[in-house]
Amino acid sequence: MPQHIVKQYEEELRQIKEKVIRLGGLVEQQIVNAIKALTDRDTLLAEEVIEKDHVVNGLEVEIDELCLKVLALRQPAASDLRLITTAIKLITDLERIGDKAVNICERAIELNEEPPLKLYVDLPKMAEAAQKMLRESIDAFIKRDTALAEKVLVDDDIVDDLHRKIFKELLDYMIKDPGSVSRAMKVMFISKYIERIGDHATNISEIVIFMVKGKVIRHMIPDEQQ
Amino acid sequence: MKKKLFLPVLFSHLLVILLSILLYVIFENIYSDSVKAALTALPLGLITAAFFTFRFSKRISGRLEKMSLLADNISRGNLDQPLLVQSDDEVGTLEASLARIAPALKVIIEDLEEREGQKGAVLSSMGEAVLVTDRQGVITLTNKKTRELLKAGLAGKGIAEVFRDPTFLDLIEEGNEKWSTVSGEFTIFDPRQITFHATISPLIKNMKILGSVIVLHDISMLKKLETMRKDFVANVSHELKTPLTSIRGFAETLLDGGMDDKKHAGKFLGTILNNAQRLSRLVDDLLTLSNIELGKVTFDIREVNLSDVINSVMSTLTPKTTQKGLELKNELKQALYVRADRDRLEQILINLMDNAIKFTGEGSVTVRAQQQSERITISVTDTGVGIPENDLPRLGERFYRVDPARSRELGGTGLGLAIVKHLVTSMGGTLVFESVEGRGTTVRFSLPTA
Repeated sequence: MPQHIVKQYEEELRQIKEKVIRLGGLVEQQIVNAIKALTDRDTLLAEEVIEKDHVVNGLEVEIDELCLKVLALRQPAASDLRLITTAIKLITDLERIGDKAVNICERAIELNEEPPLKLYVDLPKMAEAAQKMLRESIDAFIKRDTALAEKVLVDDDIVDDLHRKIFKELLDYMIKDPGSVSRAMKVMFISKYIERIGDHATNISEIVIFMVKGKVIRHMIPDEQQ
Repeated sequence: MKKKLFLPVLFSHLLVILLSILLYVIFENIYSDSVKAALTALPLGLITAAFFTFRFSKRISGRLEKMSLLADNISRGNLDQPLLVQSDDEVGTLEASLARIAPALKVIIEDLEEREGQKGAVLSSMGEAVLVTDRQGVITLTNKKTRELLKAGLAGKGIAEVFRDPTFLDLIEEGNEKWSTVSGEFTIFDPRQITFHATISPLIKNMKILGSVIVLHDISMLKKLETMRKDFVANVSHELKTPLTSIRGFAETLLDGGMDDKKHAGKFLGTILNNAQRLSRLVDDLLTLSNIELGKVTFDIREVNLSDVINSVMSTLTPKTTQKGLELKNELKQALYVRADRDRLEQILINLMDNAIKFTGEGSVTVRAQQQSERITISVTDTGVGIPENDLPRLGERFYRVDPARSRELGGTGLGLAIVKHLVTSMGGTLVFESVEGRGTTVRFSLPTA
């Protein structure tokens, strides 16, 4: 990255990037714990995740304010501007993923109050795929790796397919055993939440591709090459 | 006494004065006019003086140039340029000092390089990953282990880019805030799922934090062992408790009047006996397992005729197979001799074949043996229920059951395969499972030929 004359500005940009990464890590942890709370039927862990959501929200607001401050005071241009606009968009998706972790935990707590439904066969597999997408989309942001981001876009199909499969399985299950409807519905919601996580990871990857490809275009315009 | 450089200067000046006076005297005699004589003598004297000064300063500046060249070389780290001390004056003293600096610097630099090399060797031979960051969290130094672990160039990257685990990042901040070493554990969300114990010390100089030194110790293996130990204790308690609960329950029922009901009492006593037997099997198995693990079991390794062992095992198990209507097949064609402990080998085969019989409803159980160069592979194949692929790697773990309810129903302790695995390993073999669900299972192990 080119050096800026104002050192403070440099520091602010670095902070934005670092905080976005931090938020990413935090959200990843929330999702990992939410899935763990669900599969281990661990109500305590689920409550912990719900409790921690305010940290996610706080960090999102903090990054948002920092970005606005830099926009207002420094009038960033070119790659700096792209970083900031990317960051603003990215954190919205990350925060939403954080909310999904909370939703999963809410349903998990409700499910834990009832006897376990049959094993959530493909749910852990789907959760794993969504987690991988999230991890790779954040990696793509850090490394500015468009190839990785494009892979995430492809992987979304895996999550979507699993969601459809689980949906159908649960539907059959509900028809066969009407007593299980309330629990099966909750599992269905969870499946939907995980599918949404995959969608948000897709969004992040798209933003990253824009961020990096924008840079490539920039190199073609002589005015901005400096 | 050293030569002084001002002496030649003084000398040249005196020469000018003397020359001027001499010329003045000569010219005065010629012109017999003191003013004219002075006017002629002075320029001549000055020209002479200029000539001498020029020659002299040229000599000095040449030497000074050489010295500055040398100083330049030294600053570039080129320390092998010799410098000749040309005279005994002040410039000469400077030359001598400069000439001494180079070798002295060389010694210091070599010393530093050696120490640096030692530190580098210490860092790179460490089993822990070491990272140093500056105040902004930018990585400035890593050791070999770190690079191996993360498979990427790290210098210049932010620590958050590499480990975005919130627990870890909070830990670094805590260290910086507390001005003291902190430690904690975290697991990276990598498919590898490595758990680290991190020790973070702030780098403090002149009451300022310059960065952090991070030492990461991979404790994944320890964690796994800890989980295994916890699981084992939990499993043992559970396994011991189940028969005990039955024994206690039925004994209580008998005491509460069940004794008088002759019809049921017999059944209850039978259950108590069954559970007591199960308990004693379990304790026996646990003892066997712990003895093997402690190395207390001695192996009497000698030449063993494999057919003898198989025949003996088959005759033991034939009643069971006939009872279940299974076919017991021995496909051993030629006489094979292995190096093994006969009793242990029999134990292994009984265990494996008994398992095969237990989980086979109809069909056959077949023993095969095959010689491959220096080893003989023995296999037990059944046409039973088979084992799901996911369970295959975990077979042989203590108390690991594919179908817990069924295994208990069939009287298994959950330790049989664990014992077999240990016995096979102790005799220098490995246990391999192959299975297709619904079609059957093959267990294979190899032993050295006699």
